[in-house]
Amino acid sequence: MGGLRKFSVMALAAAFLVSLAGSAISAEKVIRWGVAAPLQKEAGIGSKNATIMAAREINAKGGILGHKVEVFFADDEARPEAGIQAVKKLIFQDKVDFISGGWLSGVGLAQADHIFNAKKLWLSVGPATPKLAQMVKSNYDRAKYFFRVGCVNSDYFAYDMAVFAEEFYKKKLGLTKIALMAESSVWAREMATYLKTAFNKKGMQIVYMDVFDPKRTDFSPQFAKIRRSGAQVLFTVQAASPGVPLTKQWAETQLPVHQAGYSLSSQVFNFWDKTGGKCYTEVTQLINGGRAPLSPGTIPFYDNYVKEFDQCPPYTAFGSYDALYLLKYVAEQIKSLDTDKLIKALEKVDYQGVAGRIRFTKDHEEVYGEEGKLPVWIQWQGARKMEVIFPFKYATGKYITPPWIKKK
Amino acid sequence: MSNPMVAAGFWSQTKGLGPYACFLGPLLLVPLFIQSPYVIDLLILCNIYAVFLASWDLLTGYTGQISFGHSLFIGAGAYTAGVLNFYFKVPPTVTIPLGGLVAALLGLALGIPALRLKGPYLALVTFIASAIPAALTAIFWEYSGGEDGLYGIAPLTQSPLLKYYLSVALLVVCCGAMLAIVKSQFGLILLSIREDETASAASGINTSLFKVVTFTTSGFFAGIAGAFYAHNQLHVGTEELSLSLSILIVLMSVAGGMGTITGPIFAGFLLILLNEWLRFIEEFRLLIYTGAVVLILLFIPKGLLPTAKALFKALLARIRRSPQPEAAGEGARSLNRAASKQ
Amino acid sequence: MNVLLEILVYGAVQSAVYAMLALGFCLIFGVAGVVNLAHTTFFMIGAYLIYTLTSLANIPLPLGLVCAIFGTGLLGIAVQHFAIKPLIKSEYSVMMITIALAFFCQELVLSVFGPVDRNVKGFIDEKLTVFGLVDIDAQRILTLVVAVLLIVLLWWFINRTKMGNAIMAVAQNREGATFVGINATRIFLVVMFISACLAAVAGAFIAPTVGARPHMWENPLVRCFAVVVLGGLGSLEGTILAALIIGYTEVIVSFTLSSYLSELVILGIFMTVLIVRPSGLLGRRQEA
Repeated sequence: MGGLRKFSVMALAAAFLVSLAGSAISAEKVIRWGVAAPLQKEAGIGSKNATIMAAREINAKGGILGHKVEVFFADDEARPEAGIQAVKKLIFQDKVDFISGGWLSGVGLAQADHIFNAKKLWLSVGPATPKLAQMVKSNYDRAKYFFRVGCVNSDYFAYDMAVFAEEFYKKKLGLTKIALMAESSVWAREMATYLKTAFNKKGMQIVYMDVFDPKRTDFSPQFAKIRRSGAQVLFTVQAASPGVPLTKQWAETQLPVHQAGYSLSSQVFNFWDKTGGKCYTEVTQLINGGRAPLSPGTIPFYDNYVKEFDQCPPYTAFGSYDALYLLKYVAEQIKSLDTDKLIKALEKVDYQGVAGRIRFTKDHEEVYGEEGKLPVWIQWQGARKMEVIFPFKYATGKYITPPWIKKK
Repeated sequence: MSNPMVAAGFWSQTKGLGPYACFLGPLLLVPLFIQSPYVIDLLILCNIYAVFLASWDLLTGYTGQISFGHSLFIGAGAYTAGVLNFYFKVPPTVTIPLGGLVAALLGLALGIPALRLKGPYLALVTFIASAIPAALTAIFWEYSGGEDGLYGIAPLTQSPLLKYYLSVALLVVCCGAMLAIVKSQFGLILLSIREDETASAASGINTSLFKVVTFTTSGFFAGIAGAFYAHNQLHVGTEELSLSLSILIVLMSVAGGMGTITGPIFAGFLLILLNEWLRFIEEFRLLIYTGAVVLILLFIPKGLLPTAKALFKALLARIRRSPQPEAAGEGARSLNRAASKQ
Repeated sequence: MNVLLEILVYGAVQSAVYAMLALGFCLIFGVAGVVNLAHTTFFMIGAYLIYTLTSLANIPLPLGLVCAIFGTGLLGIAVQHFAIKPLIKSEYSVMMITIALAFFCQELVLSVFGPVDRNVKGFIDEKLTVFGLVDIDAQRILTLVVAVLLIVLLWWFINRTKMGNAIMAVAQNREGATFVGINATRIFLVVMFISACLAAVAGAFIAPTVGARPHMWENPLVRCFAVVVLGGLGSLEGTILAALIIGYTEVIVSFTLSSYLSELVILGIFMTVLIVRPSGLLGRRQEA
């Protein structure tokens, strides 16, 4: 009898399994667009908002080739394991035709094999590691589904950072001693290694370099060493770390260096509140879009986004908006939604997106520079006052020196 | 009079296998009814977690050596498989047993010093011990992949169906072995150590030996499952070594019913599927999930499966309107076992 | 010379914070045998409460601070009464329920405040130069001063007041204390209140330099364990000694070598001490 009773318990569990499976949906022909992103963080919120915006606009004008776009979201929680679950959910449960979104490179790399296995077109907007494009290079047939739409790869971030440092800090302000702090993700480390040689080549010296845990909240050891090193400018490379403790402690201990770098959290308005205004004079690289006339659509998109969401668009928002419109552009060009044909067309595309011109290299990277994507540099000068300071032709404000640094 | 007694004896011989077959049957037949690769994939995850949870229960539920660092073994297995496959292209057939072996050695290495520690000390030490490999992966990031981990790990097989059955095989072999262990003489000795270590030692049992062997065995199975997990996810990362994974395993096992092996397996299936099912309210998913675990711990301290069994038995007894001494006795026993000081 | 002074000052701050966090954890274990894995959750709640009160409700800072600390203390009492008391017979059940509560609180804070950092106003917004060489923000020096004052106050409370004596009596012999008319259950509530308040003070004073975020309880919890186990579970003097050792080790390694190694060095010291002397530095032998 005991077996029978136990059986009932088990049968209940089995019934639960079966009920879970009954949710597969068969839909009429719509374009199913999946976004796997950290939906609780700035990058993911930006992707979600911009995707909804783009889909709404496209559907209002009759969709893509007459098909409505339906969007699906899955939270990657900024963790590789959750990211894998998220793409599996999009592919198997929501049966999406295309995958977009993404943020951290580690998550993107973990997802890659699962997306390639499913042979879905992957218009990635977040991960900046060059390793994804290297997959296309080394195994084209397997990895050709990947296109980096949302930003140039991190080698170009670093290249651009070195250009900015030379043009701005060295030539304009005469500062050549650099301290470099990168978070410990692999792409940030690689960027730091690259920057070290690039700065030296451009006649600046790295007097201090450190790699830190993104969970770190106390920067007193690093700052003490920077103080002793005589550095004049601190460059940071951080995505997963909140950026807030570093900035606050930089201002509170009045570390005598200018601060600039790549930091995701300082790309959106709420960074001012998060740091209590301590980010005043901090300089940030916006790698994809910004309130500068990068293309005719940039400033209108920026202002619409701010109006609707009361927040400025992070790079993933520009990327996500462009990704969906890029699909529309390409699909209507070739009048087909066939994945292989789309890949061929994307390889040759030249499209004016809201963050600049989109063209791909043969490894499915975005082209950097005047003929492609150009990052802009902004300085925090007040709440919601992010003034463009570089490239000089787009500058909207004058550079302000941190108030505790005495002018010579 | 003797006939029913014989029948009862016979029944008690075979009844042990009945419920397992009832559980295994649906598990084997699931692919016939469920075509969704998504659910199949979730079930693969459940099967792997079942082994994580059962191996934790073997250590903690049966010997009372509470471990808050089970991710140490899982991570050891996963990273062994990951590193061997990523750098040396060793196939899964070799990496999975090796993953188990490495984790078993770690179990041995941790089990010996752990002999000197009792109660909360052991719990806190395992908690902190599991932070060491995580710190090591950060320092040797060039080899371990650091925060990003290693990706592009070879899949077990290209066929989803075969992968599913392999995971069922993993569940059956590992959990079956663990159940056989705890149902044997060995398991009885472990229970006696848990209940009263001094008395067990006094009756001539080498308690140290048994505890270290259990540590090693538990590590072995967790390592096997960890390596399997790496080949299923095609990726190894620091999450497999994280504190949160350890805690998740503790909470799931306790919710299912410690010291039963089957309880944690049951909770593993239930909670993983619940967590996924809650995705329709994405923002509050984890809040509801953790809230449910708190409520289970508070109001069903014996664990879901033992309580469900006891309730079911009480219900049956009431339907028959006659108390059934055997069933009541068994129910009470399983309750006692779960409730007694672990 | 400069480095030595820096280590001296920053090490003191670090040790003081660890001591403040670990003392509460140690106290509730020593008295009630409760391993409260939700201890640093109080640290997080303290930070979020002061943020809510001062930045959202615009209550003046001193009043907000008192309310935040008191509020966290009350939460501690609630946790003790509703979650720990029913399970107090099994120390493992207590560990499980408290860690589950810690996760639940994290998700709750995440749902209410979101994952972004919240800025907690500082008490002083200035830079000090200590010993003429070491630059440090005044907030950290204030944290150090407050921590030392609180530790002295705690010592006075335990050793010089009637309630303190009752607490020590329960810690030493629960049955005996009950016989002489001390209500152990009420003592536990008082101790949990003090313990939660100490954690909240640490949270409220640290948050201005590091910000408040839902995961801020995790790392301090591991450090807190390391300190308490190293010092000997239940030994207040041992805890302070261990806080100094761990605080200074961390600062020395990260100021002279790298912040990455400091993690490993601390874990190494910790494991070695435990293997050699499982009861911790000043722990009672029979406890281990």
